[in-house]
Amino acid sequence: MSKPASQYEREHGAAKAGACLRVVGLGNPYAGDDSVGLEIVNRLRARGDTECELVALARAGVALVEVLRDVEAVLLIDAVSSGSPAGTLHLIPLPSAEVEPRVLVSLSSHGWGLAETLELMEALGRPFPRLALLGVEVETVEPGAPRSKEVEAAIDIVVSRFSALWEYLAGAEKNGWSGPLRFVPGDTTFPGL
Amino acid sequence: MTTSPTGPSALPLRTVKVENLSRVEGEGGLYARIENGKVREVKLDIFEPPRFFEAFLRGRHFQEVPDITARICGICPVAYQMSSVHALEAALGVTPGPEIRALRRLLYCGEWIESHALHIYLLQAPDFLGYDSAIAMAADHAKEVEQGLRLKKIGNDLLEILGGRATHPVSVCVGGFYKTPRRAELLKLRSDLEWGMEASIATVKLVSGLKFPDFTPDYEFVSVSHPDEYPMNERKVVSSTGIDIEPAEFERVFLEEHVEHSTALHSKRADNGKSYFVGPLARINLNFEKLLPRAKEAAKTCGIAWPSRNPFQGIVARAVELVHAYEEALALVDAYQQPARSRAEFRVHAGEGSAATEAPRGVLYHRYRINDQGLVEFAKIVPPTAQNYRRMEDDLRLYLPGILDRSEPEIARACENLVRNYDPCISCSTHFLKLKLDRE
Repeated sequence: MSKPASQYEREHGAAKAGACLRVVGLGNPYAGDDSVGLEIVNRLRARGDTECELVALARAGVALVEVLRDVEAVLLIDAVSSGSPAGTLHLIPLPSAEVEPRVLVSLSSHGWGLAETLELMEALGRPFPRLALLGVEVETVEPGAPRSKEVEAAIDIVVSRFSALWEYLAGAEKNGWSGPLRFVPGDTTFPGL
Repeated sequence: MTTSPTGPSALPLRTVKVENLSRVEGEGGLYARIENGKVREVKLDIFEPPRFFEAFLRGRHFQEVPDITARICGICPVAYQMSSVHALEAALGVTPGPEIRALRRLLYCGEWIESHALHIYLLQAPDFLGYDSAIAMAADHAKEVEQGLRLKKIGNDLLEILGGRATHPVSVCVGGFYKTPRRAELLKLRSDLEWGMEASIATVKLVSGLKFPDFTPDYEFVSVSHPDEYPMNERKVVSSTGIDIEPAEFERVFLEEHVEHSTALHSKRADNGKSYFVGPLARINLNFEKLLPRAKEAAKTCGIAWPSRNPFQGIVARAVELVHAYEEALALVDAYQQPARSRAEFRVHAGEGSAATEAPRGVLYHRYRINDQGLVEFAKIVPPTAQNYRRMEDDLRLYLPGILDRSEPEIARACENLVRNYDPCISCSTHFLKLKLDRE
């Protein structure tokens, strides 16, 4: 017996199978490397050659609930700090215990992060998209600081290799991707295809 | 909770501490000391660091002001933009045309919608329905929470079209807008706005059926007032005790002062030192006849006797204003034609001007003095929450004696619920409350 339709599904329909990947850049545009997610989305948008839906969310809060609806897969891009060298790229299926990205905890101005968003979606009976995090290791998040050269180099790699990343994520179930991947600074084989 | 003897006089002393107020904007706490069943001291501890925006503005070009002041608040940036542009236009003698005026009201509607929907459904409804959070409430009330999320999103969509983005809009300037939307862009939202108006009317019915504590202090309500319309952008400031002043007289009548326990200033009446009340309840009480027809009908038939002095019924006032904002947005979108010129032209000269507009949380007053190069020499900003702090403390002083027989968690919850009536903009960073009871 199939699961009864949720309130959300009754009003909005089930998530469309095969819907395009949504790429959501998070961060603070005025805090050094913390702007990395926003910058990658802006650069992809300016290049104009991706079919993915691109969203720059400088102040996530409750709006995160909206960017996880009506889509099959979402890639969140955010600054991370794990002790790795600045510019390291972390590609992580979410939720994951391996790395605690900033988006998973309540540091937004409303105490509303991804954890709360997922809890709310579950309470509402909304369908979950597949979720992945592309975390970029930061050097500095000082207010007003420019981005570090390590993070700028990481941005160049992600933007130039974005079509390969999309292919990798689209085939994630087939290629058996289930755990975090780490790419040292300057590794142009990212994301491994 | 028990009382305990303290000191040589052995007076029963109780101390109530709420270290972190939850589901409010920012960081603040509450302290109260009760002796012999009498509340001796109440303090809203606002410990968020001061932000010095008024000092930042000195030396900046006047046209930078709306973009800088928008950064004061992520929930109500439009209010800060509106009060600043109106005050600077008063200083420069600029009067934007009716098209710009209408577009500014539409922008303000977007902000009221997203802010009111957020507060009603995600911040305050859990208080009345007995849940700790919107997430806990959503499991049992998914339909209502989905409705609230959609109502809020439409407000954000409106802000994005008019302001260039939903948070900290970038289109507003002194004289008008850097860019105005095409009519077709706004018309895309029309069916959403129609849905929103009906859903808001349903919201009024929903929240007016909640159980409100019996608490009706003798308030002085203060709001902006306009002869022909429900107050948003213009223009005088009025009160329920007969104040009726131009914005330029605001600082003569209302005084901000520093209090030791708060990094935010507290406002009071300059003449008698009394607190006053700003926000949706004040607006609706003072401007009921100017509500648009559907909003007025919803208010008249919801079972609340207006004017209301019960602060808990502020949630109903907010819901009625949600109807009004959707109703007005719909009318403005229908009438909209993209103006030939997006902003008025004017000559820069030295001057001073002030303005009060209605942020979602109440009166927001700005005053600026600029020099002949257009650089800001002086700035003053009086936000609604600073005006309400003293009133919140007075409310707690009146409310606490009636609830001291409750358990510690219940007292903490009741105090928070009372403060949340004001939708204080010190932020909603946590979802827990620590109540400490010191027994001496």
